Amino acid sequence: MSFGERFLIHPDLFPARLSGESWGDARLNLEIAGTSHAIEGLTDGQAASMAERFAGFDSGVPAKDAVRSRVFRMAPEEFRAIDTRGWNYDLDQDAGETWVRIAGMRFVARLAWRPDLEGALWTAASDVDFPGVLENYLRVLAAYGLAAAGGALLHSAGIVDDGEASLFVGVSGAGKSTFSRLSLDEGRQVLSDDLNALRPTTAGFEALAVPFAGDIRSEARTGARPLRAIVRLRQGPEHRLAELRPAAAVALLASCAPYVNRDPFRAERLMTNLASIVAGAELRELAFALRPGVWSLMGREVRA
Amino acid sequence: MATLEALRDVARHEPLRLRLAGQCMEPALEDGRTVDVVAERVYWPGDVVVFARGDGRLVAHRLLGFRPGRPTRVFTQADRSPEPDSAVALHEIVGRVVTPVSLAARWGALRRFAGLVRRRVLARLA
Repeated sequence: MSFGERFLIHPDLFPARLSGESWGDARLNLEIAGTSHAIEGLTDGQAASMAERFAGFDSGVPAKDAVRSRVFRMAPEEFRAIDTRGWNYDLDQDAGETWVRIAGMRFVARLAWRPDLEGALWTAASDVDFPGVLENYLRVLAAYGLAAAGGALLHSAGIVDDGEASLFVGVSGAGKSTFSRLSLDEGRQVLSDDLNALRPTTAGFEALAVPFAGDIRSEARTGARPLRAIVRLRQGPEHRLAELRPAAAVALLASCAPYVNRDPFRAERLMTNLASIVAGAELRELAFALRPGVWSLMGREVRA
Repeated sequence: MATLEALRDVARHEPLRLRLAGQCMEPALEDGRTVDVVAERVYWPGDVVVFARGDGRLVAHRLLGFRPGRPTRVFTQADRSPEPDSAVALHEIVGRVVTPVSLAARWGALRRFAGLVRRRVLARLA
C-alpha cells in the first residue's frame, strides 16, 4: 500500500506546499523539549482546547526563533472512514532530503527545512477531535526537531532520582508504565512513562518532559535534568542489574526513536546522536519484579 | 542479597559510580564526592572497600586485614572512627574505591589491624 492510501481518498493530491485555508486567526505558543513552537491559523475553539490540553507547556508569548506551524482546513470527505476496532494506529510517513510527509486519521502534515524547520497541518478536525490530531503532529515535529538539534525523542520511562534523569527503555510490554508506578511509590519523579526528550548540552545530555500521552506524565514543563543512565528494562522474577554494551544500547535506542528511525535521509544523523548519548551515560540492563526495592538497586549512595 | 550480587556483577565489568555520604573517611574521601568502585581479585590493607551492612546500606571504609576461615572475613574501619566495624565476609565486598592510597595509609591500616588482633588475643587470655 503506497503512502497515504490507508487514510486518504486521493493520496496523490497530497499538499505540495505549506499553504491552504486557515481555520482562523488564533495562535498558540508552546515550549516543548526546549524548543518554542508557534501554532498559527487556529479557531478560538481549537486554541482554547489546546491551551487547556497543554496548559503547563503554554509559553504565552511568541519566541523569535520559534518553529512555525500553520493549521489549514481540509474537507472531511478527503479522508477515508476507518473502522478502528482492534486497529493499531500508526501514521503513514514519507521523507525526502528537505521534507517529510505524514498522513493519519483526519489529518495530513508536511515538515520542511527552508532552511529552518517549519510545518503545516491540514485537518478536518474542528474542536473536539483537534487536540488529538495536533498532538500526533507535534510528536512528529518534536522528534525531527530534537534529532536536528543533536538529541532524540525516545519511547521510554523517564525517572528522576536525586536530580538526575535515567531513561528506562524497552519494547512495548517491557513494563515502562509499571516501573514508573513503582518508582513513584518509591518517591521518584516521573517525567513520562511513554516518551521523553534528550537534548545535548555543553556538559552532556539533559532529559526533558514532553506533553504527549502516557499514563503518567508531567503536567507542566519541568526543569531539564542531566542524563545519568540509559537502562534496558524488562520484567523478571527478581530485581537484577547488569551491564549493557554500548552497541546494544545504540541499537536499543534506535528502535525506540519514533518517526526519525524510519527516515532514510536522517538515519545517519540519528545514529550519530544516539552514539553521543550512549557515550556519556551509564548503561545498564535492569530486570525488575513487581515489588518495592528496585531503587535500592538503582540508588548509588554509599555511607562513608 | 540479590542487590549486592547485582552490584558486584556490575563492578566486575566496569566501574560502579557511587556518591559518598558522610564524613567518616575525610580527608581521604570527602562527603559528597563521586567515586568509582571496581571489583578486584585481591584486596590489600589500606584499600577503601565498599560492602553492605546488615541493613542493606552500602558502606565505604578502609580495609585493615583478614581473618582466615570459612568464609574469610575482613576487618574494616572508617578513618575517623575510633572502633572497627563488625567483620564482614570477603565475598560481601562489592569492590574497591578507585583512589590513590598512600603508603602511610596502608601502614596505618596495618597498625590498626595489629592493635585489633592484640586486643582480641589479650581478651581471650584474660
